[in-house]
Amino acid sequence: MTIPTDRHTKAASAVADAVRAEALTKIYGTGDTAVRALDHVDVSFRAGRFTAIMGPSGSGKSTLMHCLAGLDAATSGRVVLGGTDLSGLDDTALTLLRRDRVGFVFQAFNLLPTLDAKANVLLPLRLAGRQPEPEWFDTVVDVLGLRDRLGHRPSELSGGQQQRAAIARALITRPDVVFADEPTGNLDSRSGIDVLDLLRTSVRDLGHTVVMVTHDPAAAAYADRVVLLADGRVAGEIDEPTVDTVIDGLRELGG
Amino acid sequence: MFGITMARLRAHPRRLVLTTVVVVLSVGFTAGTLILADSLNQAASLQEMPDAKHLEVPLLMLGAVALIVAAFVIANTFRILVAQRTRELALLRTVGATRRQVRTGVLVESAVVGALGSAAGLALGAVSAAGIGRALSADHGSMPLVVSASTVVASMLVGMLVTVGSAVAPAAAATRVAPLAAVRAVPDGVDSPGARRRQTGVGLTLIAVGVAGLGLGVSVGLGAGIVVVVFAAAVCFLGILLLGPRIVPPMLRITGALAGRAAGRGRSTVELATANSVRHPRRAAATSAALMIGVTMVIGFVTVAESARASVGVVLDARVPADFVLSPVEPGGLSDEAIRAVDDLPETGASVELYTAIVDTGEVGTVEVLGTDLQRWAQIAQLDGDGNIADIAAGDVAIDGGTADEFGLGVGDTVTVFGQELPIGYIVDTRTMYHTGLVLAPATFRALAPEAASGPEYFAVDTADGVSPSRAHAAIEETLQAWPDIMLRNHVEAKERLNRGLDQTVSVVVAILGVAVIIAVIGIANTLSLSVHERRREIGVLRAVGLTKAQTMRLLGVEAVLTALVGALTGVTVGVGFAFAAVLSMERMIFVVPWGYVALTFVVAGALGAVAALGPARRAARMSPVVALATE
Repeated sequence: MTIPTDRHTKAASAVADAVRAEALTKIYGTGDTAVRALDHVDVSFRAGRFTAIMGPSGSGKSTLMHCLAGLDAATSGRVVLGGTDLSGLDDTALTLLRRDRVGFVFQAFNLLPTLDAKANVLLPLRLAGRQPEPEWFDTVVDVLGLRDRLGHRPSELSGGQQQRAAIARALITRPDVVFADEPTGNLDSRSGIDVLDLLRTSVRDLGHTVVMVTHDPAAAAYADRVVLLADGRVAGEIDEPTVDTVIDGLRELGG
Repeated sequence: MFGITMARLRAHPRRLVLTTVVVVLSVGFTAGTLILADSLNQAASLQEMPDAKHLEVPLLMLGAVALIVAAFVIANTFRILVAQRTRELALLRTVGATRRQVRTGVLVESAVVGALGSAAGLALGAVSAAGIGRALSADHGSMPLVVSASTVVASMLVGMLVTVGSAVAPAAAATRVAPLAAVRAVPDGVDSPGARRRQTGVGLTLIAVGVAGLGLGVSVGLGAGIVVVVFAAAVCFLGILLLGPRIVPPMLRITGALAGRAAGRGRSTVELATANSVRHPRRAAATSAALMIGVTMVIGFVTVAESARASVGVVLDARVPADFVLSPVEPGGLSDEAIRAVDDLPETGASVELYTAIVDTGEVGTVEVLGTDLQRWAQIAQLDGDGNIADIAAGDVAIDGGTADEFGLGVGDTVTVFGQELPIGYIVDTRTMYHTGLVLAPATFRALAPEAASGPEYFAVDTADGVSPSRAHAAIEETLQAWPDIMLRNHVEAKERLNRGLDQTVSVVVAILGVAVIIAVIGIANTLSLSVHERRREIGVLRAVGLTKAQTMRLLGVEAVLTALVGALTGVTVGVGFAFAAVLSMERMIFVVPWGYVALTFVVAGALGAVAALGPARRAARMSPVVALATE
């Protein structure tokens, strides 16, 4: 399969970090009830790579992702996304950054029920009042196999189709980073494999950067690298993970 | 069950507040009108304010309108609330609550809201009535505040009935929720195709019957006609309300598309808002219908009032729309000297004499015949028609357009007047001259009926150019001191009095109906607030993928403004339509569309819609996307 890519432009910045956390700390609540969700986390995600964040429930992986994506503000420390320090940005600036430079894929798909698939894919551009580049739109739609589903409402799509539309929505702005939160959690195993393949394709062939939170070792094995989190701290890393190495790594966290 | 209900109410204060506010306002309004009516009655019987009695019926009617609007808003709010709680109610079922318990729970909840709201409303009504009473009595004697036991009972009863009644259907719907439906929220406002067809059928039938009734009322004409028109309008209105879920969404789409085109770069939020506003057809219809009722009443009333203003001649029953009209106190003719004296005054201008008689003609039955100079008439008032006015001066007869049509007569046909066959030379357009029957030149009239023509019965005269009407009035009055048997009517003053009266009535009615409009706007705020609540997750997604806070506010603002504008549009259309039928049924009245009020209605509706959106929109914008995304 030959796919038009802009790998070269992305590759130029591949040495740089797409997104990086420095001494990131997030505390919920105050006093006795305070919970330290993230505790001085230093972690970086290189551009053009597919990274999985793993860890037991309550390890802080979702909080880390929300902070990295500019959805949530950290208590201290900082996040640098594509060279921009997020800590100094107000709500509007953060929103515009998410719109232009971050893509999201959620567990529950989260397409807007009132819009058809095409309008959902184009949503971030429309909110910015921008027109899609026709070639890029065609590439994304074809890679994700959405061509004959564009006029359908989410309620008329299967779970796998909805998630593919969600991935298209995440890629349409050519973001610096795509964050995927348990993207296969609501899918049957076949559709799940489909989605993971597509995420990997978007990294290998389209040159994107994907950070995925998951608790499924099989899903994590699709990534180039796994970051293990426990009790709000980085507890290890696995390069070129396989299902077995991931399970071993998780078992060590437990023990 | 009662304990659980109370706990749930306490757990969701916003639900309680939203419905209670509407109940308080509507019961307050009803109680206020009842108290005011009682108090005015008392004042009238004590002879403090003898005019007060006239106000009772209109007050009660307006109170009823506010109550109907409130019933709409309350019912809609309850339905949305129950739809949103499908999960919670189904959960209660799964842990063992019976259908009956769920139903009772919802009803008890509404009864609590109804009781609290009615009590507070009663207090609000008494306070407002006291305030209005003080304002009224400032220049018209004092008004005692009468809060009768029947007012208290009626207000409480009405408040409870409307609230609990509004909850009956949602409560029944709540019991239909199967325990396992908990997983999926039941979409609100989606009817089965059968129910939809039935609704459309009944709606269209009612509209057809209503329109036929309006036509009947118009043809019945003066007197009973207006009563028929009012009833037919009510039937028609019911039909329109039933068709609401079919009519309102397309209107929202069209309005939204137009707004989107006008919005330029903000287009995407307008498009999203439009899609959201049509999501629940029944909800959208009920929300805008509440506003439509108020607007229909206001615009219908104002249109009739403005038409009355334009048809001042008909309303004042003026034979000639001149500034002053002289007529003898006792039946008979006016003396020539008196007419000359008034006509020669430097303060008076154009004038015309009028002879009248009732004549049995062969061709058009018994009609009134005027003897007047149409050429001079045309100098005083606008006069239109077919034929040549000069022919009348030459001895032909003129006939009004209505009678001519009725008997199929045209210029050149003949009519027998005073036993003499005369050719028709002119057909008067009755919109310019309020006369049914025939017109002769004064000379012809005097020649044919010397016994009837002892003198003209009316002498109409205008103020001279550059003279103030009051000076002309004074001069005429002074001249007429020599003829005490002549009555002078001052139409300038009467017109001013009528205009003042209309202005006053319009402002009072608009102010009172304004309450109905405000209740409707609260309804918009309610719907939007509940909609924000159920769309938390979606709003979270939008915020995550790039909707700014300002865009979020705009999104919800546009939703509310669209709903308000569509409500106003239907209300204006229906109100003007009803007023048209009412005006037609009152013969010869001129129909006028009060464009100023129409424009004002849209501006006010849009502005109120934006205000209604303020609270929910701010709440939506403040929501953290992370929290919103985490909700299920």
